[in-house]
Amino acid sequence: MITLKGINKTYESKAGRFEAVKEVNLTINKGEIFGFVGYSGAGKSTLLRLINGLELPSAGTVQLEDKLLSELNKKAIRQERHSIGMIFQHFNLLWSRTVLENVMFPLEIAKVEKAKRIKKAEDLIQLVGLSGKENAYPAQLSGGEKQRVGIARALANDPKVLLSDEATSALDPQTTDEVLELLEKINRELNVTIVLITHEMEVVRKICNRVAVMDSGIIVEEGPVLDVFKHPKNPVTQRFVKQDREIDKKETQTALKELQRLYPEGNIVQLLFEGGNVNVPFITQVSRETGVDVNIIQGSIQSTHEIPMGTLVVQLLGTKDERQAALTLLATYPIEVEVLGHAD
Amino acid sequence: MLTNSIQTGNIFLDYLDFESIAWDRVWVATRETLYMASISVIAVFFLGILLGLLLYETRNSSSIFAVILYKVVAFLVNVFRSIPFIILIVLLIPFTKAIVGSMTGPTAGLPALILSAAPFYGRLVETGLREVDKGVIEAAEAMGSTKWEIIKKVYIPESLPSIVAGITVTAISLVGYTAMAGVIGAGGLGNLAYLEGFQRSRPNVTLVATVIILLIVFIIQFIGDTWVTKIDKR
Repeated sequence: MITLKGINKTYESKAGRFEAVKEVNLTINKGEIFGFVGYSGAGKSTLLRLINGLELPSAGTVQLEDKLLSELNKKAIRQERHSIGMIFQHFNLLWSRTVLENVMFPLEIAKVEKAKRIKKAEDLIQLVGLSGKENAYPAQLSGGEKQRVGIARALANDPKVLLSDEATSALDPQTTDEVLELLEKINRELNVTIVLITHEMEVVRKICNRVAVMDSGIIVEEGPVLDVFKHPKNPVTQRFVKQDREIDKKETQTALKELQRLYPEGNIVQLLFEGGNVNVPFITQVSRETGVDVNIIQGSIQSTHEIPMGTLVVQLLGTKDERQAALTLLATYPIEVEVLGHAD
Repeated sequence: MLTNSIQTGNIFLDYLDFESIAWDRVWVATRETLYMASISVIAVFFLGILLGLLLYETRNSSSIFAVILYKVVAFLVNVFRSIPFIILIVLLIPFTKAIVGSMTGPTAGLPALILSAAPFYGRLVETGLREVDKGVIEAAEAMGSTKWEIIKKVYIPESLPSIVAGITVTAISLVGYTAMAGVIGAGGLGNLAYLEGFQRSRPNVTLVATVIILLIVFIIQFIGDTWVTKIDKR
């Protein structure tokens, strides 16, 4: 669907050269939700704009289906943009237009006749759940509603691809979830490929199929979201994943020390499991069969695009042999076991 | 003492002696003022928007042509809005004669009025355009809009309150300028106040001319304010 080959983007200014994107090779498949995650300045924003030709690569090619963007002239690129929707962190709606008129904007640009424009815009407003607000102005809407208008507008010309530039970064957690659900629904029902950039790993975890982690213009890690979450390799990825799991290292350390003081013989273990995979009461089983006591320190569950993912931090109490047996037994379940600390 | 108070009374009576005013001449002068003001406002409106767009578009462009164009336009704008209006009229007399064919009458006032106000308004328009959200422009570009579509559908509607507020201010100064133009022969209320009121020492005529000009200014301000409130949905 989208193929980036040998992409480099360098900005030349009086202050010197700045390499925003370096040696990016990537294929995004039709119908998937692909996420770029990285801190600000990592080059993800530039990369997103290379896909719809708002930025042109210094080297390399961008291919959309069978068209090479670099071979198109300005007019053809504009034409191509009709089938690429884009949504923004700050929504970028025209304050001078009503909701309906905002959604009709891209249809006007694509020279769709007026009756069809109105019909299409009304349908989309219904799809994003804003029926009844057609004649409201953006200033009268909440952030979440504005982003829904942004999404409806981006979908107006039945795009093949939807680009999302930090679309939920200006929204509160509740609204973020609603918008993410809407994006997921659009991906599912309209089969629109979604490419999003974000600095929140949570967004990637919730809706993406695949993710690329960017740092200083380079893709440092890439793969299916679940794999990246379970086995983050690059330090940057590890930081993102850890942040998302909300096991604040400092807090855990403090808790570990406290527990180690209370139960000097304890083993502290982190268990990571995928929702549907564990159908047995494994904690009870392990406790019963090996004789260890299991003390739960912290637990959380996180939803991903495919299945929920659980994290559990527990303390194993018992003799050294019992604990060893418990660890061995735990490893036979479809869960990831990581020993965080032990007193011995 | 007594004479003094009688004189003071007379002065007031001079001002308030409305019966001796030739109202038909006042009416003609009012129409001339309205004619000069409205034609110049319309011309300045379109010219100013063009100038504003030109200034805005060439301001940050990197092409050498645009840079030169910007410098030239910006220089002319600064020159024209810096020349005191009364001097500009005199300066433009040969030019006015050449294009209007006469140097008196309301139409002869137009070139100077337009040339002095258009650059000023152009600057106001440019400022308004610069306030348009860059993100919205990017959104329009991402949809595949052409430059012209972005001007027509984004820049103008999104900066309309500034454009309207700007033309209100400009229109009010133009009414003031018509009075000055009147003094050197363009007709209108300024001309009436100068010839009838000042040179024939009839303060009642001056007062009437002043009141009418004030009314025109108030009406323009009211229309402008109402219009801005109505279109500003931010």
